[in-house]
Amino acid sequence: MKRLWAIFTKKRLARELDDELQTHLDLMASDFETQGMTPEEARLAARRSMGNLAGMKEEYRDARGLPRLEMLVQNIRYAARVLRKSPGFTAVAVVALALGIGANTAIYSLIDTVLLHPLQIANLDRIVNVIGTLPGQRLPTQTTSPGDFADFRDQSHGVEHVAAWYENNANLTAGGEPQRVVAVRVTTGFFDALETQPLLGRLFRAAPDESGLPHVAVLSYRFWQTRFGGDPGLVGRTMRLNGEAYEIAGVMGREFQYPPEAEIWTPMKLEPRDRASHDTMFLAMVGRLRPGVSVGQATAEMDTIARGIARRNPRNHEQRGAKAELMSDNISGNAVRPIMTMLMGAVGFVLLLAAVNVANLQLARVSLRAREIALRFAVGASRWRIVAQFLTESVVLSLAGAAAAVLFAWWATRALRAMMPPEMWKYIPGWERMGLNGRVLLFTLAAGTAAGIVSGIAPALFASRTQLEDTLKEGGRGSVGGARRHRVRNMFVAAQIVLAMVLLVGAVMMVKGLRLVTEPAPNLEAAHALTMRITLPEAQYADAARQRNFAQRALDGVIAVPGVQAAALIRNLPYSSVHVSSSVLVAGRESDRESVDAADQTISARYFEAMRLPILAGRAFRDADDENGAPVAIVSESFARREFPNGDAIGRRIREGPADASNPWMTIVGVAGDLRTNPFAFGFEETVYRPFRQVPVDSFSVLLRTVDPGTVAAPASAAIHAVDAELPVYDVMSLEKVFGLQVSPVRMIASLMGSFGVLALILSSVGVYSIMAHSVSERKREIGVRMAMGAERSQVVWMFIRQSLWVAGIGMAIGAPAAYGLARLMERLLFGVHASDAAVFAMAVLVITSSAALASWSAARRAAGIDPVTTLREE
Amino acid sequence: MNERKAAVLLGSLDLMVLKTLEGLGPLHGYGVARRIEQVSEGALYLNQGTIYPALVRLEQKGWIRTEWGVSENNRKARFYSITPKGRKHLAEEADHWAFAAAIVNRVLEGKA
Repeated sequence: MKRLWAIFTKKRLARELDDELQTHLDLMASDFETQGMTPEEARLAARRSMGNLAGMKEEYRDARGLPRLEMLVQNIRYAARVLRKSPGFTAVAVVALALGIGANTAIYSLIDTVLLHPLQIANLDRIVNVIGTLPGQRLPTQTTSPGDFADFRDQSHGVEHVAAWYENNANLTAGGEPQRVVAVRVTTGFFDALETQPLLGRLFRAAPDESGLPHVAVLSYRFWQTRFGGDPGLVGRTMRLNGEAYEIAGVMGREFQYPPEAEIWTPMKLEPRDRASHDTMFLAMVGRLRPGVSVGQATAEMDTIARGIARRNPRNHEQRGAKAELMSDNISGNAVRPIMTMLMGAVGFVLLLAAVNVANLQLARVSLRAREIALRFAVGASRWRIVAQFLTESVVLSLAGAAAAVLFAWWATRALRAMMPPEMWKYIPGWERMGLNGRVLLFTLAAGTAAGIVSGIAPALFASRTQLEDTLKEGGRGSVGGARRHRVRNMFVAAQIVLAMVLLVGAVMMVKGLRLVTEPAPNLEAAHALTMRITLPEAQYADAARQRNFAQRALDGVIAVPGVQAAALIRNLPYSSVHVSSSVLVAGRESDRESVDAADQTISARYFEAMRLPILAGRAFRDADDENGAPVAIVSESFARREFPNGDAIGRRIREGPADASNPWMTIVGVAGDLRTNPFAFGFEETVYRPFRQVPVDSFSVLLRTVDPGTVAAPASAAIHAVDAELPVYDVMSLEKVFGLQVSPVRMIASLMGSFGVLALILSSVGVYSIMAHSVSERKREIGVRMAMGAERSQVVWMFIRQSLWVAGIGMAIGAPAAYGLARLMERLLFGVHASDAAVFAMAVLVITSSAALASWSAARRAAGIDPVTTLREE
Repeated sequence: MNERKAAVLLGSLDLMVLKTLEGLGPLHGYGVARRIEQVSEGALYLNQGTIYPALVRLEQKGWIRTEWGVSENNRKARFYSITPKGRKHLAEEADHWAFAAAIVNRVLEGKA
């Protein structure tokens, strides 16, 4: 307390110390006098024996006050003064740091939302999904049978409130247009497991007898807002799902959104018959870890239970185990984490680049400030004190940058949010919340401090090595530790080039890769096709004949719309995020062991024409390929190549399902061009197409080839409603938009990587410019001499350009392998990126070389303008 | 060599200051410095750079206290005196010092 007080009573303490020292001097002098000196001699002798008075005072002050805190306050004041005095330097440094820290803040808020806090549920870190496993792999989340679920629920100790859900999308009628909704059926423990309460109304909770559940529904906040305009009087009203009446029991708060795309939750009945069923696997399980139980322990227990289930039900359970997985990890998915890691790494490089840049600027200033530093040494500052001073300056600078970064990040997160089309938001929980929050700002503060220390350490160490005598000898011009510091500055520029190289290569690869994935296959002309989705309700369209009949009438209706050139049905559009695959047997290789996986598609006759997908061999389906015709199939090129490498696919026979199934053999009549199923997928999906008339389905997309999808949309929907007025026609959009939606995450990643690359280029160019400009001003005299000796201006300019190209060359030589490493990582994350793409590296080298040359040229031009006479006279 | 000798002795400066104050009662900084110089028979020369920070340190530890008084030459001066806590510390540390010194001596003699 006393010491704290001492900071504020500094003046009085200083006076007291002066008094005390004066007494000391006087006493000493009088002693000297008694030894025979004259008073004058004695006074001088005493004075001499005092030694470094200033240094002593500093040390005394350090001991007397709260030294660290006091010094910090002093240093900050001093730093603010110094930074104010050189606004140019301060502005450049703050902007560089603001960009670096701001970009990091933006990416961190992305990670905070998508990876760390996808849901705002209390105790999110205690909620797990129980997921089936096979040796070496993890099964999809929704792969548990009702019987298995009952066993898990009844036998688990470490996980409580085990509940199950499955997505069961439904057609909703509640007045107005019929609509397709994402309905999730949940067991009654679901809301207990997630410890949640509704915003309005009530939830359905565990009932002793689950068979008597009423038809009630709970709405998601988003759905309540978009479909019912946030009507507060909605609870208690009735709506119809798939033709059945449901009472609206409650509305969830905005923060509860699980599963992410859910719009309606309805209770799931588990009949005794279901409990015995271990074969149909469609449930996802969620539960809460009991206090003190870790995810690992829960996994061990779940696996044990799963082994028991597998022993009792050997069919379909071969080698099946189970694991517990944190729900937050499960939601963000396996692909997200490595991509986020890549983005964070890249943006971390940007900040490092900015920090090195600022370090270099500060290093240049060390020599300009040599006299100031020497003076501080002379008045008794310790080396540590100088280091602390420079570090403080650097951190103050960086925190100013962090403050500006918050503004930049605020703008950047808004831009990021807008980059994802609203249709995609429901797949990314928390997306609308994405932005700055307390956790993010804390991160900004930490990043700012770290950047300040990183960028300040080298300048501080150099400053503390300023030699008093050298500085004075150099005639007050103060060039300090010249050669060594120059080496370090060149090293820093080279380091910047390394980072820029890595980021630039990453950026170009991403952007190039993006172009490859924007469409599932080349030349589909997606802008000139319209799609819409239809799901036939079971009640009216239970059998194949009715489905077939509807499909025919719908196709006849839409093809009659003016402007429609071709019309077709397909079960799942490529890039539509829905995807069905099954196992296929090839005639002649008929054991289960030899069955192969392939995507299972159902299409109507003119699909390939409407999609503009080429038939490479054989023929497309015909109207005659119907229920009376022989079963036929078309396979994709990749399937044909994998299964029939000799090119003899046409005429071969294949069959769907396991070996003991009785599905009919289908003859392959054609080979179609390849498609990818989603933008993150690698390579093409092996696909088996079957004719709609032979295997009708109840949910499909209508694909219309036309010039202008916009004008066709309304009449085409009307044509469908002419067949069935109750049917929702949803997701009406151009094929281009279907693809665009799915590509939007890739596009966002590419834009981010692209802007990091641009940022890196700008920062490194500023770095090259600043070192060259500084080098020119330091070597004025040398330039003057050279020019006096007859050197041409162009020679002088070239000398500087050559120097910077040397440094850039070294940077690129080191950067290229590092960039290759990053590219190898990206290659595994995203389709379309090829690490060994020499053109990308060549382009990066070209861009960096020319920007370095440009930056050094504009700095060196000033050197050429130096008048030798003036310069030499100045010295 | 000089520097090394000073460093060794400075480590025990606190002890010497405490011992001086214990023996002589309240003293000002110059008096403490002179006394230690005298006792060390000139082997140790203390300037203000050493003595005043040491005095502040000891005061902060509560081993000595200060009061303002008037020096021999009628100047305002700060007088330092030892506290009971300081005496206790001195007793402990002096024992410790003697013990350590004896060990070091024994080892050095044994080696020679």
